[in-house]
Amino acid sequence: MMLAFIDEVPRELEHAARLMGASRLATIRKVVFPLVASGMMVTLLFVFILNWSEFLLALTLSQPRVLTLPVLLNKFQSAVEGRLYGPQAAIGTVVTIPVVILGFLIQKHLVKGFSFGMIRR
Amino acid sequence: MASIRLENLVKSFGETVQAVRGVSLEIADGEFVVLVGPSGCGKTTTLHLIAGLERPTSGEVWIGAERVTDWEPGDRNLGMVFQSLALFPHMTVFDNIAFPLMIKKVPPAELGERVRGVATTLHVAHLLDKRPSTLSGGEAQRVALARTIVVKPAAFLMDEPLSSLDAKLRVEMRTELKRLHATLRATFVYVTHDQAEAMTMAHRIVVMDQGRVQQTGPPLAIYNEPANYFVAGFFGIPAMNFIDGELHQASGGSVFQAPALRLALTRSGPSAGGPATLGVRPEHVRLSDGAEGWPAAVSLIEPLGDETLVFLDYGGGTSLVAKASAEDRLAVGDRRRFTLRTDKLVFFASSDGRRIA
Ligand SMILES: Nc1ncnc2c1ncn2[C@@H]1O[C@H](COP(=O)(O)OP(=O)(O)O)[C@@H](O)[C@H]1O
Ligand SMILES: [Mg+2]
Repeated sequence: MMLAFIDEVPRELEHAARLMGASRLATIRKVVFPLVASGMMVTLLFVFILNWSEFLLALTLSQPRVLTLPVLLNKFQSAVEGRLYGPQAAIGTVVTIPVVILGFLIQKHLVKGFSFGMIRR
Repeated sequence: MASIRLENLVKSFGETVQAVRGVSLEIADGEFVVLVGPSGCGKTTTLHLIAGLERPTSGEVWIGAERVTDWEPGDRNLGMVFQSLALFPHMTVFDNIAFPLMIKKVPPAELGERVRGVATTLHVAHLLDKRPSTLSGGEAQRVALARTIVVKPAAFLMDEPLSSLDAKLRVEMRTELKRLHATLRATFVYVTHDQAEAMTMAHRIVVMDQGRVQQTGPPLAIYNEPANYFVAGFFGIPAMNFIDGELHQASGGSVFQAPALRLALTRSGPSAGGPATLGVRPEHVRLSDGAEGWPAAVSLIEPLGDETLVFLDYGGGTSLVAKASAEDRLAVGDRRRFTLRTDKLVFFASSDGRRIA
């Protein structure tokens, strides 16, 4: 996914910088990096959501005392007592809070990052 | 200021693609050279080889007295304007123009002065705080030029810089670039696929096709004395008329024989015989009032305002395009006779397109 964003930076921009005498490192730092910053934010959010809500691996690897929230959520149903809707809904809501906060924090970048072709050709 | 010399440059991409196949070229200090050719003929690659953005598979690049083949692009003291202009979208116009100075660690006071100086020259001083995405095509063009000029490079390389502009602006910028060249007196290597751009701007034109130089020379020499079939067909709007036929030697000169056209060539005719193609430009096909010439029917008329293009069906495979005066009252279906300016005819060998007369 990061690669797609870096590919999105036109080669001519790198060429222009190199012709002006910028080293490869300076070209990456001053030209490529600022242009993919938004892309990196989107990638960050994606990776975060994927890990946050990961269930299968977490279920297998976690133990009763250390578990991730999605696994905990799943514990509120059993054959005997049925679903405990109250706590399940409450925790479900709480779980989404960090994702929402993160989303708000990097909102500015999201708009840019999600609209591919952000760089004028 | 610098001259540029290319020695037998070859550039292959992988096993199969040979983009440049042995280009040798000398560009004098201060010369305005235009590389022109159809898309994919290796113009951009040649320019990248000069700039150092690509390394040649074989051959040498010289700038001034230095052999720069292995030098980094940044060490060659060249300025380049790209097809996309390659303005940095995340920087203001000021920062874009200042970028090359910043890389060279020019002190801030001098940097500001030089950026403002060059911005004033190119009439973009009022845009310095804007982002490239908010500029019009012409403004972006000037900013790209300003960014190149600000470091006073020895030579300018330009890769189809006007291709993104609309037709009117393109013609204006042509004139402006010529003026800029006259002011800077630097070496310009300009790439385009537009033959009109090449004709109007160049001191000297280098015509390329399939990775090879087909002909070099001043614009009018290329237009009037094309070295081969390709060059003849590439220059001129509307394109040169071509008629396939056969050359015979006869007493008193040679004869060109085509399906509906027999032409006796008395003066300076081709000495060779065999299959040949006759080339004649539309302005050298004349509608005649008298009885001389070949009969034809007018099949199509395209008025251009100052003159009129007339398509003539004379019985050959294709119709012949002639330029007629706009005052000539013509209508489709008219039967007229036409003559050819025999002193302006060119002949190409059908086998390899080489000019034979
Ligand atoms: N980096 C590359 N990799 C592979 N093939 C390339 C590359 N650059 C150019 N070519 C090929 O080389 C030929 C010449 O390209 P180019 O110099 O860009 O032509 P022009 O600028 O005259 O249109 C084309 O056939 C093109 O596909
Ligand atoms: Mg090109």
